[in-house]
This record gives sequence, structure tokens and C-alpha cells, in this order.
Amino acid sequence: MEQFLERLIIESVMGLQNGLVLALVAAGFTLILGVMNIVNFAHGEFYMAGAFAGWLALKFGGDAVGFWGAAAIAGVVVAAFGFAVERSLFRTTHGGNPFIPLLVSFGLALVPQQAALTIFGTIGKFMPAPIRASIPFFDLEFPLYRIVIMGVAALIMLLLWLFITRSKWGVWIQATIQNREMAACMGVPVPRVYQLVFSVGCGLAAMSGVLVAPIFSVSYSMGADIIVAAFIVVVVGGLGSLPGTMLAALLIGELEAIGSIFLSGSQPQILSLVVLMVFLVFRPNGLMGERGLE
Amino acid sequence: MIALALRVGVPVAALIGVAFWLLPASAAARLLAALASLPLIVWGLARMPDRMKIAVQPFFGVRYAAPAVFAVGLSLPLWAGDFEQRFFSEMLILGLLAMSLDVMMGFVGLASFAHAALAGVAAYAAAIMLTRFGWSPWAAIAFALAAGTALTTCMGAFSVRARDIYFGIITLVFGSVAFIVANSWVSVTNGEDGMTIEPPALDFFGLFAVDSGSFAHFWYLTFGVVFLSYLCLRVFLRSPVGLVFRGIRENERRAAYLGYSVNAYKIFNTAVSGFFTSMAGVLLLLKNGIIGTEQMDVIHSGEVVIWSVVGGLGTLVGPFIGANFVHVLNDFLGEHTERAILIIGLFFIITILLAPRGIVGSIIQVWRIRKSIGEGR
Repeated sequence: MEQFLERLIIESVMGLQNGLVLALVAAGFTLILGVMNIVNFAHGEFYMAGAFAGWLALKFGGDAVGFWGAAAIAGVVVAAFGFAVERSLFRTTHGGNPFIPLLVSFGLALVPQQAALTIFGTIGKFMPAPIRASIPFFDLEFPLYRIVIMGVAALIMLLLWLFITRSKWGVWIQATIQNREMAACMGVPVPRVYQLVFSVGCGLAAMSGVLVAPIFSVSYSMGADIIVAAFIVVVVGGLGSLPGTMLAALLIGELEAIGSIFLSGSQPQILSLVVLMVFLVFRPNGLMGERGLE
Repeated sequence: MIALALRVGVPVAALIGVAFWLLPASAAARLLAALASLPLIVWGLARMPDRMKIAVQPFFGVRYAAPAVFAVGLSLPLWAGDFEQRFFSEMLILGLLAMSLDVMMGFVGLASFAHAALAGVAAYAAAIMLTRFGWSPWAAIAFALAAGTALTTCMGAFSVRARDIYFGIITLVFGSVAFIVANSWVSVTNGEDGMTIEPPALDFFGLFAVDSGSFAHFWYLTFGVVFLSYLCLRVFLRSPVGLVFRGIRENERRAAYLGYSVNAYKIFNTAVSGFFTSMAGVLLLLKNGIIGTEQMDVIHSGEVVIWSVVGGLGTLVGPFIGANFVHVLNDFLGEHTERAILIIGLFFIITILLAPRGIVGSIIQVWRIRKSIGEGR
């Protein structure tokens, strides 16, 4: 019984950390969805691209760059890549059939994944953690780095929330989520808002990719591994709502972590599907969705 | 009066024919019954309502397409080798899978990113019943069709609660969970090893038997099933129900205002799509004799979407052509590079941006424009 309690506490700490990282990925996804009405299937690939960018930056930059420098570089590089993608692929599809950007992003998801597989191969790359220390936690040594990730992810989420609610651009983003046409009529530069949101979303995904790189290895399939969880978080959390996304991400993170005590491998994802179905039936707007899904 | 006679006469004639096949009569008696019922059926076909005539009309605007397809299909085992027969069988099955997706995606606007996974579920259902429970082939196939249809309907029933673009997300989650279940429920599905079956012999009411291990037999089976499926879908999608589907695709709110229960139609549509998806899954199992989890992963489900979009959504024959086109392209690229899917992904993006109607859709568009220019003169 005591052993079980220990396991439960350890897993729930892990779940908290996974949930916070998931929140970062899903926040960008939900913003892109809310503002641009694009289901970005490629979002996981930006996360993967970020992890590889960070790994490359650390490999070639060495100590001069450092881990946090690599994370920042990855964020900026992938945000720039996202900007280019928005300008080249999604620019022409605004305001048309919502099917087309959906399919474009789906096609786009295949490309970076296969490119990474071709360039870097199937074997995961190791990325050293910036903090090696660990703290005693029941019987095992709990890596301090995981605690640091939680802090960093929470900080980024807080900054993002402040940006959305307090800055001029943030208010424009909110206005665009609520009503695109009306926002445009009131002088909000909607195309610029699109570019900003897409780049920021990709940058956030990239940074979370670097954050988790020392825990998992950096591999071509990591984007596909997280995207399903991010989808569930977005639907459960409610469209375009950051607090909802945060809550849903923590819920899903904890659920999968605690589920992993009883289930093995990727089976805890089945639990997430059940949660998703329950939400679809009883609360299709999600936890905090302002605008309905329907 | 004639219409009434037709509505009663044709089914009765067909039933007499089928009944004689089922009765323990000699082969000669059965043949005689079949031949006797034939004129009645032909007469019925000649005078049937317009709605049904669409099925036997020359399809896709080309007058001699149906006879040509028949001639090629029936004579194929005479001139094609074993490899070609297998290859063309596979083409037909993949085409059926793409068409079943088109029912949802092209006619109602529900994007499903789970179709390979759903076909896989049906194939697994058949394989499990055949190997673990020793069911007869027909019972196993019926169970597989029922299971695949039920799962797709269930997916549709949950997903229609969300707005159209979310539908895709939710189907993707369903598909990946089906993949996880197949992968981790090792005691039933053999996990990553997959399941192998002995190609069963399918006995058609004692009249003839199809040995699915034989290439020619399997070709005829596939050809018959896929051709009939195409005709059924064609009639179905041009029926009043099919028109409601298109109405929902064009303007969901207006369809609701007109009194159509949009969600019920959507769920019904996913059920129909699921049935034909399961059919494709079962045929794939019979063809390969093996079903593995890798056939259910998200990339394969995505490939089905790519086939349909490249071919042309909402044209039914388009996804069929798209499936074959992309599959051949994939094979061709696969000979030269390991990452064919990378190039296919790029090709797909370019297709959507430049020709969102796909191959067949674009041809139809050009044809219509030319026709309207001609009429304007």
C-alpha cells in the first residue's frame, strides 16, 4: 500500500511535468486553431523540428551556446520557419474552404518527419540535461531537471497569458478569435495577427521540444507521439482558451501518468480517448470554450 | 399497373433464382432456374425507375466505359500473369477504400483520418474469428463487416457533436487508439507480429466456390465485389438521401432549417462508409493472408485521404483513380528512394494548392467550361 502511494506521488509529479509541456504545445495549437481556423496537423512536427534544431545548436555551438541558448535558438529558428510556412502555404487559403488548410497541414506533417528520418536516421539523439543534480524523493533520486522544466513551462505559459491579455497584439488576437470580420473592420491587421500567431505557436512547440529533449531522446517520431494528446487537450480545453488548455493539459497529463501505473506502453492514451468522448457528449464546448464547437 | 408488376416481378424473379441456388438441387436445375429468371430480370432492368437506371447507365460521362471495364475485368486472368493479377486486385481494393472515404469526405464533408485503421479493425475481426474461434469464412466475414460498420458508426456518432474541422481531429484520435489497442492487446491480436490466416475457400451457395488462394479466383471475387460496390454507392449517392448529403455539404445550416436532421444523416453516412471500408479491409486480409498493425497506423490512414483528394473528392470514380495513381507513383518512387512518402507529401500539398478538385474533378471542370463555351456560341 505504501509502495503504491509512493508510486502514485511520483507518477503524479511526472504527470504534472508532462502536462505542463503538453500545455505549451497545445497552447500554440489552440491559438492557431482559434485565430486562423486551421487544424494544424503539422504542429507536432514543429515540436520535433525544435528538438532537432536545439540538438544541432548545442552540438555545433557547444558551451558557448549552452542548453538555454540552444532552446532560444530553436524557438527563433522554428518560429521563422513557421512564418515562412504561413506566408507560402497558408496565405492563399485564408477565408476559403476550411478543408484546404486542413489538408495542406496534413500534407505538411509528412514532410518534416520523413526529412528528419532521412537526415538523422531512426536512432534517437541524446541531448544532455543542463542540470544533472537530483533530489532524494522517497527511494529514488528524482532529477532536479524535471522540476526546472515545470518552472520554465509554467513561466512561459504565464508570459503568454500576460501577452494575450495585456498587450495590444494580444487584444488583437482575442478580437480575431471572437469575430474575424468585425476585427478586420475595426482596423485589426488580421493577416499580421495570423503571421504572429502562427510563428509564436511554432516557436512555443519548438521550445517545448527542446525542454523535453534530455528526458526523451530526440527522434523523428516525437512529433507524431505528442500530437494526438495535443488534439485531445485542445478539444477538452475549449477552443482558443489558454486557461482551458492549461487545465485540460494537466488533466490529460495526470490521467496518462496515473494510468501508466495500471497500464503499459501507450495504453493510457485509451483513457484520454474516453475522457474526450465524455466531453464530446456532455460538454462539447470543452472546459472553458467561449465559442462553441458546434 | 406495369410499375406494380415490375416492383413485384423483379424481386420475385430474383428470389426464385436465388432460392433454386440454395435448394439442394442438381447443378443443371440451378442453371436452368438462373436462366429462367434472367429474362425477367433483363425486362425489369429495361423498365425500371430512372433512379435505378443510373446504376447501369454508362458511367463517368463516357459511353463505352462500363462495357470496356467489364471486358478488361473478365478477361484479365487470360492475359495477365500471377503478379499482375495480384497487383490489379490490390489496386481495386485500395480504390474501394478510397471510394468509401469519398462517401464521407466528398459527399458530406466529414474528413476521416482513420480509414486505414477502420479497415484494419475489420480485417482483424475476420482474422480473429477465423483463427481463434474457428468460425466459417462467411460467418467471420459477416462479423467483420458488422464490427467495422459498428465501430465507424460509433466514431461518427461521437464526432458529429463537434464542428466539421474538429471531426478530423477526433477521427485521428479514434484511429490511433485502434492502432494502440491492436498493438498492445497481444493475447488476441498477436501484437506487432500480426495475424496470418489460411486463404479460405468461399462457397457461393453451392453453385461455385472461390478459392481465395488462387490468383484468378481472387481477381474475379475482387472485381465482382468492387464493381458491385461502385454501382451501389453510385445509386446510393444519387438517391434522394445522397442529395441530402450534398445539401449538408454545401450548407449545413440551411439543410437543418429545411428540417433535415443533419446529425442523423451524418451518422448514417459514416455507417455506409464504414461498411465499404470494412469490405476493403476484409478483401485485403483475404489477399495478403496476413494483417499487421503497421497497416493501421496514422500514415496509412493519411494516405487514404491523399488518394481521395488527389483523385478528386465528391466524384466517386476520382478517389478510385487517385488511389491507383498515387499507389503506382509510390511504387515507382519506392524503387529509387526510401522516402517515397516525403515526395508524395509535397506532391499532395502542391495538388491541394493548385488543383483542389483533384484529377477527375479538374477534368470535369474543364469539360464543363468547354461545354458552356460551346453552348454560348
